[in-house]
Amino acid sequence: MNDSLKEQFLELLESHQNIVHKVCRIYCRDQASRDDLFQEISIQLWHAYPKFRGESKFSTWMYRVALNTAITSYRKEKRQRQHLDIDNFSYALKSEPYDSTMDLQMDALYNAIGQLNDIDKALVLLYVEDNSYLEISRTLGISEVNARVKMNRIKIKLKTLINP
Amino acid sequence: MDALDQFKEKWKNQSDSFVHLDKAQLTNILKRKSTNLVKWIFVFGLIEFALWAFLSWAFHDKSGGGISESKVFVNFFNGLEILSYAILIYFLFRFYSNYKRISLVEDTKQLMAKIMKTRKTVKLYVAINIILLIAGTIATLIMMMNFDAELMATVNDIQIKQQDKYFFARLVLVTFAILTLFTLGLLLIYWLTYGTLLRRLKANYKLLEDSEV
Repeated sequence: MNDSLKEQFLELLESHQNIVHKVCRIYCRDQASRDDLFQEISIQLWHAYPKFRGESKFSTWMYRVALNTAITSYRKEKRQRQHLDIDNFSYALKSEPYDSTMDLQMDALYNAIGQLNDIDKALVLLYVEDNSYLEISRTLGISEVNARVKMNRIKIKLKTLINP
Repeated sequence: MDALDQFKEKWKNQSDSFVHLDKAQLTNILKRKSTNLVKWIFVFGLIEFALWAFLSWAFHDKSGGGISESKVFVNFFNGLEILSYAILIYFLFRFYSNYKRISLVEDTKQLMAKIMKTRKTVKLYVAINIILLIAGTIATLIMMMNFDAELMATVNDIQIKQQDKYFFARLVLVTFAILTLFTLGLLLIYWLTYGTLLRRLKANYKLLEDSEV
């Protein structure tokens, strides 16, 4: 593919990469799976990029592709990482400190989110990223009322998961 | 403030904890192979295409000088072969167009609806393959009884000589036993490949469907 297009894409991906990191953090609990998902999302973003027309903000578009990739990915936690990274992009090594600095309550909440299904995780992510219910409903393809109802149910579910 | 809103506060302050990847590292990542679900469904389709083609070539080669030279027989097997190739090519085309149509830019529900359509195509493909296998075997047996005089004469001969009235019946039974085993084996393979890929997706799709009150 076109070199300048790739350059342009890499620049956008580099500056918006935290979106991908966040999606990986919500969907995967161990670092190896997060690395896999990060890779898959980046590839899918690149595949989809030539069709990006700039009708929406790049970040909105990125959330959509990233979430869709995460939801339709079939091996989020199940596989044990067996291969070694030969070309050694060592981004896997950091990013655990987050978990250790969290206080216990946050840790519990984090675990509870990990137990939610893929769709509910998407809702949580969009919610904590300050998306409106309208944006949430558009991203997931459900009605706005439903997004609201679902979010309330998730809050109750999380509460029971934290204080059983 | 509920627990999730507290989480929101913390969530927003976590950006520093992410490793920042530079362009060179990102370029490396992009060089890797995708593990995309729909792509895998398509790849499985291709493997199957090669496998069925190989099997039919292998059997064709052996039966060339085999049991019967009868014209009806040859026509029948050629017809069956053309039919199964036509079905394969049609489904490969369907897999490919499904694969091309799916876009991750759509909303999640629409995306999943399209993937589920791919799933339907796979199911139909599996069903047709199995039906074709069973129907093909039954038809072969009927053809043998009606058109392969040489073979039936041998069977009669064995039945008379060995005083075994049920030789042919047992032959048919064994054929069906093998057929059943083969079908079960095939279903197991499909369950392990397509089934594994699509089970989780189906569960997620149901969640979005159920959410419409």
